[in-house]
Amino acid sequence: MLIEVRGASVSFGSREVFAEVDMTFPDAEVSALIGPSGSGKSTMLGAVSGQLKLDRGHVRWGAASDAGSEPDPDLVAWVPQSASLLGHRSCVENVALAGLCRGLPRSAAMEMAHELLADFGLSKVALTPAGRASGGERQRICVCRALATGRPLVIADEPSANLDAANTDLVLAAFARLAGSGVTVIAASHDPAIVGVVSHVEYLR
Amino acid sequence: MKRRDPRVSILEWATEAVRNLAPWRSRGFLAVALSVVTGGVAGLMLAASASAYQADQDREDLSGAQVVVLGEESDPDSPLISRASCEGLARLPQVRAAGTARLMGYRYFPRLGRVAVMAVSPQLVQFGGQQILVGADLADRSGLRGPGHLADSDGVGHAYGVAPRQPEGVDLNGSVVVARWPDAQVRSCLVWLQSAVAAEAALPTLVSQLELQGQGQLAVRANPESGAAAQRLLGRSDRAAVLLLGMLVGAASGLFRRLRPADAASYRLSGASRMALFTLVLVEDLICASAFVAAGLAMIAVSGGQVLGPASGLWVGAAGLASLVTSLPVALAVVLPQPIGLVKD
Ligand SMILES: Nc1ncnc2c1ncn2[C@@H]1O[C@H](COP(=O)(O)OP(=O)(O)OP(=O)(O)O)[C@@H](O)[C@H]1O
Ligand SMILES: [Mg+2]
Repeated sequence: MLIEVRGASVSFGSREVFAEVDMTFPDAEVSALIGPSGSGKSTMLGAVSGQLKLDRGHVRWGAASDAGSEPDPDLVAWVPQSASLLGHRSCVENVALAGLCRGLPRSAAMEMAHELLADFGLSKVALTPAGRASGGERQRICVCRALATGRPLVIADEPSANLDAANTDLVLAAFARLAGSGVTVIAASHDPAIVGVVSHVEYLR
Repeated sequence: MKRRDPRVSILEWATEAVRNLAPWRSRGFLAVALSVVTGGVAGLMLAASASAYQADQDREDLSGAQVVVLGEESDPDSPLISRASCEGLARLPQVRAAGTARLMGYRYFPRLGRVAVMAVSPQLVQFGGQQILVGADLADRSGLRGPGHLADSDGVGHAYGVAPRQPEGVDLNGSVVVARWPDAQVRSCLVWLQSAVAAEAALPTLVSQLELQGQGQLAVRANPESGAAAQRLLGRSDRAAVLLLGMLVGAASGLFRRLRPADAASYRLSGASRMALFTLVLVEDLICASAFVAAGLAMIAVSGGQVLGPASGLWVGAAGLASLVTSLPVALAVVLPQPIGLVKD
C-alpha cells in the first residue's frame, strides 16, 4: 500500500519537531526513515500509522490525496523502539498472542510462534520468560510478534538498535521477504548503514 | 479496508488472565496477593467489631438498661396487676422475658447456707424442667455447676439447675428460685426488653396490655439509655471501613497496571482492540475481587461466624464489587491510549 505524507508539521508546545515535510513510501517495498536522534522519526511513524494527529498536512494511504484513505492503526503491525513485552510470560507466548488476537486457536498460534522464533534464531529462548531475554532477543521477539499479526503494513521504530550485524541482516532479510509478499514495510533508523540494504529512503533532519 | 475485530472467546481471555496473575512476583500476582490479604483483613475487621459490639451489648443487657419495672411492690396504693397479663407481656416481640418475682422467705441448704428463696414466673426465668434454680452468683460462690440434686435442710433432694445470669433489676442471681406462685394479682411486673428496643417507645404498648385494678397511678421505672448499645451496633463504622478497603485494593491494582504500561502495550501491539484489552482487564480484576471476597468470607467463617449474620458476607461482597468499580476506571488509562502512547511511558 502506497503511503503519501504531504505538508506534515508537528510541534509539542513551542518545540517544532518538523514542518512542511513531504514523503512517499512505496507499496510492497522496504523503506527506511533516516534521521538523527530527536529529529522526529518516531513522531512521523506515529502519524503515518494513524496513532498521532498532525498539526498541519495529511497522510493518505493507498493513493495520493483524496483518492486514498485515512490511516488506520488497526492495520498496522508496530515494532516499538523500546521492546514492550509481557515480562513474566514466555517469549513464544508473547509472539503467539498476536495469532490469538487474529482469532487463531491457541495451539495454532503457538505453532506459528515457534516457527517465527526459529526463523530469527530464537528457539533456545522460546520457553524462557521474555523479561529474561537479552535486549537484542527482545527486539527480535517484537519483530516476530509484528509479523504474526499478519497486518498489511509493518512499521518498525529502530528495529536494529540493539542488534549485531548478523541479526540486523536477519531482520532486514525478513522485511524484504515480507515486501515480496505484498506487505509495505517502513523502518526508522539513525544508522545510515541501513541505506544500502533497503529499496527506498526518506530523510528527516 | 477496515477489518472486523476477530472474535476471541472469553475463555481465551480467562486463560490469559490466569497466566498473567499466576507468575510469582509479577504485577498480577501482587494484585491477587494484596486482594487476599486485604480481603482477610476486611473479614477480620467485621468479625472483631461485631463480637466487640456484641460483648458491649451483652454487658449493657446485664446492667439492667433493658429492664422496665411496672408498678411498685411496697406501695399499697399502687394498682393491682393481673399476674396473667404481666406474664403475657413475654409474648410481645419487643420483650425478652416478663413476669413477677417475690421474696418467699429464707431457707437453709447444706451446700449453700442460708439463702433467700424467690418465687418467680416461668416467663421471667426459664426453668428448663428443673424444680428449682440456683442464681448465677450463688452457684459461682458455692461451686455448683448443675444440673443435679440439691438437698434441703430436711435431707429432701430437689432437681436443680443453675439460672442464666439475670440483669440488674431482676435480682435473682443471689437467690434460690422456685416457680411457685399463689397470687392472681401482683403489685409489680418486671419486663426485660430485647436489646434493640428503647423503653420509651415500648412503654405505651406494655402498659396497655396490663389488666389493672385500683385508682392509683401505675409507677414506671425505665432506663432512658435503653436500646443504646443496639443502636451503637447498628451505627458502627466497620462496614464503611470494609468498603473503603475494597476501594483501596481496587485503586492499588489499577495503579499496578498503570505502572506497567508495557503489559497493556503488548496486547495492543499483538492486535487486541481496546474492547478486547478491556475484557482482559475486567477478567483479571474479577479474579482479584473474587479473591478478596473469598478471603473475607473465609476469615469471617473461622473467626466469628456465629456472631455475624449473612449481612457481613454481603458487606464483603459489596467491598469486592467496590474494588472492581474502583480499579476499572483507573485501568482506562492503559486501555484507551494508542500503543505508541503506552510505549513512550
Ligand atoms: N509527546 C511528546 N511531548 C513532548 N515532546 C515530545 C513528545 N514526543 C516527542 N517529543 C519530542 O519531539 C522530538 C522528536 O521525538 P521523536 O521521538 O519523534 O524523535 P526520534 O527521531 O524518534 O528520536 P530517537 O532516534 O532518539 O528515537 C524530541 O525532541 C522529543 O523530545
Ligand atoms: Mg524514536
